Formats: sequence, structure tokens, C-alpha cells
Amino acid sequence: MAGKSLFTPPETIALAAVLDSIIPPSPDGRMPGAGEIGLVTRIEADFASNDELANVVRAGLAALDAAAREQGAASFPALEPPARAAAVRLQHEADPSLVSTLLFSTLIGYYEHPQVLVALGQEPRPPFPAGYAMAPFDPALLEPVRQRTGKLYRDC
Amino acid sequence: MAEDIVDVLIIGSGASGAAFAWSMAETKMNILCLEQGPRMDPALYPSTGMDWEIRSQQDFGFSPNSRGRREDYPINDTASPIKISNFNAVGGSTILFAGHFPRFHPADFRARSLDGVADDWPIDYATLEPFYAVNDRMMGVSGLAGNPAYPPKDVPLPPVPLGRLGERLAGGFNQLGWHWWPSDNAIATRDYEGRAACVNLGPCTTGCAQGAKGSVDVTYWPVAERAGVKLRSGCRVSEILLRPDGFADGVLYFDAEGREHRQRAEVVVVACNGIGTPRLLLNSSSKLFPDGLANRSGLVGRNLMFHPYALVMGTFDEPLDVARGPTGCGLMSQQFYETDRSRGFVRGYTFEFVRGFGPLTSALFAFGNGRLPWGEGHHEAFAQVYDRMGGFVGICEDLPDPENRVTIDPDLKDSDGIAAPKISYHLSENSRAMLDHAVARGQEVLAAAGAQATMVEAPLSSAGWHLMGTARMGNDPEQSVVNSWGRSHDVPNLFVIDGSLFVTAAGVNPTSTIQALALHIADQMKKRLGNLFD
Repeated sequence: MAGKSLFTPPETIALAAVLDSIIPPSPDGRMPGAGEIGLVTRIEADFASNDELANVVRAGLAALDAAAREQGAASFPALEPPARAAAVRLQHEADPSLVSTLLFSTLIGYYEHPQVLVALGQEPRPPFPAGYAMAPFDPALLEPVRQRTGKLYRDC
Repeated sequence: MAEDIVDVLIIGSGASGAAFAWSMAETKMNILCLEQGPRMDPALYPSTGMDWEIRSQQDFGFSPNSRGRREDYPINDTASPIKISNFNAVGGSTILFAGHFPRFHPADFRARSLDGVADDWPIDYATLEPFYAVNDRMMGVSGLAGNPAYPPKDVPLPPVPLGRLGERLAGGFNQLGWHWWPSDNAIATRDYEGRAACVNLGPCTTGCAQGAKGSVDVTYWPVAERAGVKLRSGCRVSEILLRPDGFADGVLYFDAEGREHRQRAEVVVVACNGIGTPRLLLNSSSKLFPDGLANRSGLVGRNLMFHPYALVMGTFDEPLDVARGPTGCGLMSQQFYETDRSRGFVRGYTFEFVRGFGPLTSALFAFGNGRLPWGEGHHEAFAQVYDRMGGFVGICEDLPDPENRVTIDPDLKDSDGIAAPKISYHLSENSRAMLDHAVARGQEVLAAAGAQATMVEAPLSSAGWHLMGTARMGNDPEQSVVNSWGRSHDVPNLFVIDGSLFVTAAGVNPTSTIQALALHIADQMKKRLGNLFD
């Protein structure tokens, strides 16, 4: 049975938009934005047992919505991405609590995400059990050391 | 629980306790080891999951103060620029160690005679050499014979791969004409004694799921237990008890459920590392030893030595698969190891190659260093650091100073109510000069290797993982805690066998020497069984 969501549906949509402002899609389209790979679910899990942090997020989202409405938009998510990014940056300069609260979880969730690993050219798997093939040590690299280095320890 | 008397009671199952137990097993005596941590399950190590990177900062982090494990004891290290790292489990801190396995140099046992600093050890390299060799075979050491920085020695297994990053760095050393050599590592590069060969997972310092790294839970302990040594996990010793005649009587300990027990023993062997050992001795005060057990010299807890680390990282101009291969092992340089007073300090340091990070750690490291913005420009900045960073640590020899010490914190306690240790430590001017030298030389190597930007942390604050000197060995009971084979000067059936014994720290990772010492002490005890307490 699914647990109760930490945020309301409008808050969830707004949160995804904020995450896309923290780590936006790359200009070349290769890297996804943090909001488009489902990190809202992770954020909810991370903050589920911390009402204080969840309330910081709620208040930050409400402030962004209010600012968007002052600009004539229906809501923060209704703004175009550049305008959303500008709004998040502007709010952060006045009150850094929203981005500061979300940043660590966002970085963790983003750079562990299989979709991101693939975009980075990595296999979307943990190191074990397959590991990684590497060329064995090449003794030829040591030739200069063998030729020039005498004994480097003191007898005693 | 029964209070049967055991012949030998070992407190702590880490590097020294395991080697000692294995060596003593041939006596067929009744040997018991009490370990406060649990037996680890490699199937649960971080490298088996997608969250492998962040777990290195959580339940497999270096600091017992933030790790959140029940078996950890808190350590007040606020009065030290270098913070304590350890791990409490069957295998001790070898669960997390990188596996670097250099030996001391012969001159490391003669700092006073050769360089006029610190003190000479009561033993020498020749005394330990056969035990180094046995230990290398038991731990499965890889490397390459012929290193001009060491007397001739065999290396059982071939070296770990350097990888593209390591080859670039080796090229930097070659360009400068400086010494480097493949590191000795307790990492099986071929299938070895029941251990599978290393497959270059990367995160050795969160436990080796492959079993290739020589943590002693997979090297010494299986053999020792098969030979009859008993190992009881989840048992935290609170106090060593004393008989009226001044001999150790055994210990009090708490089991994993917090129940207190007494265990009597004919011989008590302390193997709790350079912090845990003085903590236990200082917590075991009595009428006979009001300042702590075996502490008539007043030196228990004093002369704490770390290895101040200089971390120098650079960014290269191409992706180099930096996170693949054993984390901390690859090559080492001892170009600046032996004393040269023209450098502005005595003694010296070892450079050891440090591989780079996976994606998440790269992001967190770059963000923490102000090199990774959020929002616009994030991906461009990440591309500049990801898979391009690597470098060195310079492992500097610390000199003993009685004011650098472990005491008992008046307020802090562990989950069983046992008083916790407090660390007081300051860097010497010699160490600062050495760190500065290592940073400058490290930057030269990185530049020669083609790295474009460097980041420095010296001393590396998280690097308090080599804990030495706090129950030093020596021939003079006024100037040492134990004799040249680990026996207390004050309590005839009490032995210390861990890094607390070190008279000086050398400029290399200590585990190889800790274990060689433990094997030396076991050898001495076996030779003296008839008159061990005389």
C-alpha cells in the first residue's frame, strides 16, 4: 500500500520545477534535469521523518508561487524554465533555506540515478560484482626509475 | 555466562589481535578474543548497491562520531585538527583500510641515533623482517620486488593496475627524475588462499565485497578459528581487573544486549588500537594503579602520533577512469623519505597515489570546494572535474610529543556507559614544514603530469586513521609502558600488541608493522612460556 504523500499534488509539481532549477537539463540535452527523473519521490522519502525540513520546503514553494502570481503567472510551475530559474535564484538571494534544504538530497539522488549514470557514459550498476577490467601494470614504466635511482634507504 | 578462566584473552580482533591469535593458536592453549563489533557480511557492503558512494559518508564513514553504529564509541576529538577514524567489527579498522602495506625503513627504528630526534626503538628492522615476511604471505600482499627504497624482499603477488590516471602520474615522476614504485598492498591480485582476485571495484575503503582486500576477517581469522581460537563478537570490555598480587585477573565486558559479564584469564592481551588501548588502561584504575593500569611511567595515552596527511589533487585534461581500481593503492614515492636537513625538517614522508571519485563524490567534492554551482553552468562545471581528478597524499612522519595524548573525557560515554576518550593534539613545527614541502612537491608532480589545477588540504582533517604511540615499548620502565616484546613493565601478565607500541611513526601506513610486531610478540611469548612472567 502506498504511503501518504508528504506534499500535495500542486506542491509536488512545484517541487519538481525547483529541482529542475537546481540541476537543469544540460543545454545539449544529454543530461536530464533533476526534476524530470523522479527525484521528488526521493526528497519526500528523505524528509518524511523531519517535519521541520518538510515545512521549510512547503514555505519555500509557497513563496515561489506567490512571487509568480505577482508576475501574473497562474503558479510557479506555469512560468517558463528560464523564468523559474530566475525566480529560484532571486528567492535564494533573499532566503537560502529552500535550495539549501534540497541541495544535498538532490545531488545524491541525481548522481546515483541510473539515467544520469548512463548519460555520463557509465554502466547503471553498482561496482560489485562485475568490477572493471583494467590493463595490468606495465613494467616498462619503471625503466627510468631503474636506470637512475640508487639505494634510497639507510643501513643501520 | 560462565566465568571459566581462559589461558589467553585478546581484547580486540583487528590487525594485531588477529595476527597474534593466529600465531598463538599453535600452542593449543585456550585462547579467547573479545570484539566489541559484529561480524561483517560482505554481501551488504556499499559496493553491492547503487548507493555505494553516499554510504561511505553514512554507515561506512570513517568517523565513529557520525557513523551511527551501536558498537562505536564516541571520541572527543574537538581539540585536534586531525579527526579520528576507525571501525569496530571483527577485523577492526582493516574493514575500511585501503590496504596499503609498506614496511618501515631500517632507519625508522633509529630516529634518535641517526637524526637526533624522538627515540630509538628497542628492536630493529632485522628483528621484524621475518615477521614482515610471514605477514605478507598471510595477508596476501601484492607489489613488485626490487624497490630501491627498501632492503631486498619478496612480494607474493603482482602489483595492482595503475590505470590511466596512475600512468599519467608515474609519467610526472619520471619527468622530474624522482623515485616511484608500485605500492605494496594487502590486495590479492590473483586468487589467493581462498580469496578471489581483485576486480577493481574501486571503493576499498567501505569494505571489499569481493574479499580480495586483506581485511583480517578474511585472512587471519578463518585460519585462527579453525585452529581453535574462540572469537566472541559484540563484547565491549569496560575494565581490566587486577588480582591482589598485581597480576591481571581478567576483564569486565558488556555483551551486545548490554549485559555485564566477567571473563577471567591467565594472560590479558590488549589490541584495541592507539586510542582504544589507552582508553581501556586509563579506565582500569585501581588502588594499585590510581592513574590507570600499567601506568607507573605516566606514559599511557601520551605521545599520540598520527600521520599528518597532505592531500594534493589535480584536474586533468581528459577522462581517465579515475574511480576504477583499488582506491588508495597504486604507486608510492619515497623521494623525500629519509632525512635531508636542507629541506627544513627532519625525517620525511611518502607520496601515495589517490584515485579519483565516482560521480556523486565528484559532485559533492567539487561543490564543497566552490567549483560546482547549482543552476546555470552546473553541467559544464561538472564536466571539468568528473573523471578527471586524482592526485596524492603525502604521509608525513609525526614525531612523538608527550603533550599529544589520549585522556578520559569527564562527560562523554558510550552506549554502555563506559567513559569515552578525549584527544589533545597539535601539529609540530617539523610536521608543518614537512606538510608544506609535500604540498609544493606534490604540485610539481601534478604539473609535470599535466594536471591543470590543484586542490590542497594539509593537514587532511579526516585522516586520523593511523593511531600510534600511546603505550610505547622500550627497555626503560620510566620511559615506556611495555618492554621490547609487549609485556607491561608493571603488570607481568598484561601485554599490548597494537599501534600503541610505536616509538616513532615513520612516514608510511602502519598496518604491516603493527602486525609484524604482534607476530614478534607472539613469537617471544611462545619462546618464554615456561617463564613468561619472570
